[in-house]
Amino acid sequence: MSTNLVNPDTADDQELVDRFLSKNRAFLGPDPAIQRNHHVAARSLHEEQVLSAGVDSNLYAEIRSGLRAALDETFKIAEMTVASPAAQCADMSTGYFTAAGDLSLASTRGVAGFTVSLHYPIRFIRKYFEADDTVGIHEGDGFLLNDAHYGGIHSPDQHLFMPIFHDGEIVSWCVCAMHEGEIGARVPGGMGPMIESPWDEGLRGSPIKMVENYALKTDLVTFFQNSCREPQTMLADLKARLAACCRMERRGKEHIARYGIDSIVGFLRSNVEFMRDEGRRRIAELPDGTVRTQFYIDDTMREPALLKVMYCFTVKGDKVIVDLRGSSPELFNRPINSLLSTQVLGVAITLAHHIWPDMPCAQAIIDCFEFITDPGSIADCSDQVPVALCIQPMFKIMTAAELAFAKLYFGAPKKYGKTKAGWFNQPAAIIYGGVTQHQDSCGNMCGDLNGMAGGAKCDEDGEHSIAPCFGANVDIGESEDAEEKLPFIYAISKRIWPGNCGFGKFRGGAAYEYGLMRYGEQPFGFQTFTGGSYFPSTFGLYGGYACPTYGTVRVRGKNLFNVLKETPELFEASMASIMNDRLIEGAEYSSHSMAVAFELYPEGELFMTSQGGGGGYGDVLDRDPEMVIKDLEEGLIRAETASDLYGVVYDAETYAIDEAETAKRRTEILKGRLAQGISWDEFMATRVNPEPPPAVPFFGRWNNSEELYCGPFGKALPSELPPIIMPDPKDVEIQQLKSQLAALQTLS
Amino acid sequence: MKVLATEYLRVDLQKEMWECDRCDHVLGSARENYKRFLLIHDRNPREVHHPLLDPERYRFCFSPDPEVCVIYEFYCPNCGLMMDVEYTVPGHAPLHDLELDIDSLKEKWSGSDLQANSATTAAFRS
Ligand SMILES: [Zn+2]
Repeated sequence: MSTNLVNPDTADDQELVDRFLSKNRAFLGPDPAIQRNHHVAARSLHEEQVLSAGVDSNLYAEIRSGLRAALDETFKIAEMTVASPAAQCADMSTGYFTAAGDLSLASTRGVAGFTVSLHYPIRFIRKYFEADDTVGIHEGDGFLLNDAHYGGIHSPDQHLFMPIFHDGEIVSWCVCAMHEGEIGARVPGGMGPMIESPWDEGLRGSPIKMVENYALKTDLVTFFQNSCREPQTMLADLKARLAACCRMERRGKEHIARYGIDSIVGFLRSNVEFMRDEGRRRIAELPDGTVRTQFYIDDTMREPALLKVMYCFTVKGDKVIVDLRGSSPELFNRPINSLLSTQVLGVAITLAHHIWPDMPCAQAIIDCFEFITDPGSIADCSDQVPVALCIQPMFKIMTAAELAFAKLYFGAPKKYGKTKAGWFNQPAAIIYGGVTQHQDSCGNMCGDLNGMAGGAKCDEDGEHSIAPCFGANVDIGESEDAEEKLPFIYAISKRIWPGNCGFGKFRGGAAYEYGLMRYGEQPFGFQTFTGGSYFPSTFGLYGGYACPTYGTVRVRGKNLFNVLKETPELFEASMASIMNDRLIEGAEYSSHSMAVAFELYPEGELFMTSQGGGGGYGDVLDRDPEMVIKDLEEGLIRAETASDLYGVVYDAETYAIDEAETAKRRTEILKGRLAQGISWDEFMATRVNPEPPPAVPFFGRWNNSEELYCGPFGKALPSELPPIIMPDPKDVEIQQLKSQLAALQTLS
Repeated sequence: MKVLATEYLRVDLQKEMWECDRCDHVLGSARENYKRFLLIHDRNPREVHHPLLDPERYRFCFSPDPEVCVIYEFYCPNCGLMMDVEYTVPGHAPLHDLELDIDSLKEKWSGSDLQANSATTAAFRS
């Protein structure tokens, strides 16, 4: 570096101007040329030389096994040493990338979604830092990233990138990526309803060189620790990621020494090209056609709203066009906006997890996909709006892709996965923050986020609270483990409640309720940021019903530990009993939406919510009556559902099915349908309205409107959207109360 | 030559018609939205998803809000089979969810036999 040193004051004018223009950029912000391009990079000269000479599949298979073992080894190293509760539940991934940044191979376990979207920052680092003398890329460097505007999913995730060098050239990158959680945002855990601007999102780490000579830089580490609520967790996890990267780099170099550099470079690239070409080949097998899904995000996280998200998948030859136009405009001061890169990521994850489970999870598999959006919408937002809860629209496109490809593949001669209904798709976790019983400050989320239920399949029921929609190989953690570290107990732990699954010929998986009771005197509180309180979040398939809606419920104003001690018979670990029977005198019982702002809870107060069920598959009348009765016995459905919806007649004492009466009731239900159903023309004339209902602010396209509705701000063409700045709900309430007061004063 | 397009709908590729796979009723042109040929019923979601908490006491009772959510049920006009349900906002037009290119379908799937091509689904058809 020292050879280039020149005092700028001694340079000639032209050199000064050239240098100024090349080096001085006002701000190295997110680069649209990088962020809006999910496609595989062109072959490098080296890759071209190696691959044009032919591919030895057996050799590459051997290398793949070796590198995969290295990734699984490093995954385990990180998993065993991290402190973040999410990463301890396997919310992480490790991967090897090509020199240009394309993901070639990811760890078997964990959430591959993390590594899938990390070609963006690698391209950024190479484009802007490699030739910059003040940064550069050297052996033993590590770059940290957490700002989703440069890649990745959302800010609470932190990723460490390490280049692998050979003979002075970058030949690959390795990454350890994970959900860290606490990043010093306005609210604990980096996500929450109260995040109203990008500046509330906490640390916004553009790629930062945090590691030099394989060691963390103490000044930067201290800055990061000093900027968040969990300094010990931050340090432990930085070290865990570094240890994983160091091992990955070592294993990478061992493979280069064993197989030669050409074989490694050739393998990494050919794996990417295989995924790209195989994805395209599979799309070409499908008939041309269009499948449409629309969802409603029913909460801005501060107030109820109907935010439409529209997903239209069109197969044309060997291409897929994903048209997101018609989706809600972005909200300037609410955290539920999503970057285009987040939507693209959602499609890749779904294809790999649900549609082509035999394919690796990488962006390359959707290289033949193109995306069309209204820029400035909730599905392709600008850099000026908060994206802390971008997983809301991201989980929606995941279910949209799941259902779209289920439909496109239904009659296909060759399927790669089983046809099934929508997985549950909300982050239904309680986020906590405050001071623990060990006097540490903390802010993070419960592993219950991963307890989503699976959708019903074409030949069997969905699984109960099995895994999140974004990763098959993760865990929900142990209640006892959380209780030991954090000042609450699971007063209700993983209890199934009747009706929490999508009904159908095959039902969706059920999901559990849980309730946290505060323990101890220290300041400590909870928040949630989930949709689906008014309008179901995930859908069924081919006549199967959706999941129900959810809420958060609380018992406050009383120390329930005293109740448990003095009158244990008054406490039953069931949300419905507690809330409907209201046996505890003096306690305040209330229900709220699934998005509640952070509040402190004193000892003995109870905060309850539920994980979500999967969508159902097929007509309920096709369900085997024996299976209906089994659901009833297991507490998955209510008696009314068995008799009225499924049409099963049974003895209420013995649960013995009356087959003849069941057949009769089912025939009556079929006749009832023919009597109550009306024709398309009559339906369009009598049920369809030119405007959305006034009950709740509506955002997005209504029917085929050219304009997008903007809630309280009228409607506008997508290119002319007004800034949507929502009023503070507390101000709205104060205004209403003032008006009521004024009216009463006038009366008196 | 007939192919399954959904669990309950099949396409006769020669006649280019949608058919009910349960009762063989011919619904209408496969080049049009199949929902146009079905009976539609708008259903209050509370009938399907019973509240867990007392709805008189609690606004959030773990059941969809009928003010913002309605279920459109689509039935075969001949046998009453429920071919699809759509959760939407009251007053919204039904979504044209499935629009297969019939010419492309003929080209790509016409070699395959209905029973063989849907081994999984056909085996579990009651
Ligand atoms: Zn029929």
